[in-house]
Amino acid sequence: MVRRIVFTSGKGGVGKTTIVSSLGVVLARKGYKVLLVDMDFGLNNLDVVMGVENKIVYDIIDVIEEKCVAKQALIQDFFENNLFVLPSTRGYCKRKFGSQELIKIISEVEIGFDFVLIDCPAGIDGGFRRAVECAGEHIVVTTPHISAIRDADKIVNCLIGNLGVSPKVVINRIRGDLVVGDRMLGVDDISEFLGGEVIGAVPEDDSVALQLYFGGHIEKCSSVDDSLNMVADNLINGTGKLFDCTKKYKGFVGGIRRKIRGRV
Amino acid sequence: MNIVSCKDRLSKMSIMDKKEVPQRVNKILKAELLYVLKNFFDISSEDICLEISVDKNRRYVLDVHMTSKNIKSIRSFAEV
Repeated sequence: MVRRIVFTSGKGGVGKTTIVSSLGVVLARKGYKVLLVDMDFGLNNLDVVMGVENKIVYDIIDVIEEKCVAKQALIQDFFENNLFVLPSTRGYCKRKFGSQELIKIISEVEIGFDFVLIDCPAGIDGGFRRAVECAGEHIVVTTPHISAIRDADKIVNCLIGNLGVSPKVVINRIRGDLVVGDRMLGVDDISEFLGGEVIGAVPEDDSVALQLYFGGHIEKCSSVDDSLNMVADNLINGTGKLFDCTKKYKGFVGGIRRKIRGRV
Repeated sequence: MNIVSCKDRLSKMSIMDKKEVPQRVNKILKAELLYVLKNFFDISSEDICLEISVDKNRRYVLDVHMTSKNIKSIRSFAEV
């Protein structure tokens, strides 16, 4: 049965789109058929992150306006045959639409897929509600920064209070050197504060920024790839294992690494 | 600034955020409570006072203060 999972955060810039795209790639590499849906209408970037912006003929708004059928708007990834994107390129639509219209579209195209990963817009207004109502599972993405955790807390409370769901949490862009040096909140601190089950800890990695600049997918065997593989395993099997972002900054050699990174 | 003060700051911010309970929630909750309590006491809307606050563990606390001169008789309970 297909699993519809929405990735939300409240705050913008925490890496929702990056996590959705990279996790999609990881799941596809594991052999699952994955559909990525961009519900960030008007501020869409999933197509750019996936490098398919030049392949778009129709988007999800065209489907709502009945200019095409839903399957015509799907774009196959360049590298992974079982990874598809349902993009959104426009922020305006001639018709009023809500979550029911979007659920209908997703229901049409999701047949045969194992995962539907939905990229939710930032904020807590109509776009957020539409996206979270389309999914059966909810993941809150945050970074270890105070503003992001505060917004994630609001989103967690909103999801529990209004939808009666208990969201899971992915913590992105963790600086292991700062956590070891007690200068950044760690996974345990954030987990305790938010109260949700943490299913992923993703380290800050320059290779992600380069991937976003030049296109392409995350490097295999990089720390981000390893951490996202653990997120995928958590989603599939509920292993409960998290990537240890602090591991390489512990001990004597780790201390040298911390000092070097602190100076750079 | 150390990590402990950062946690404190985060906790204080969360308490402030949670304290902003919409006025509508207070109004609806009061109406619902009045509906229930009217079965037991002889009261009007002015006799109930509600206060929603947040404790230091970031949990909501509801204080209800009600005054009434009369409690309804056992017979009327059976009728209810």
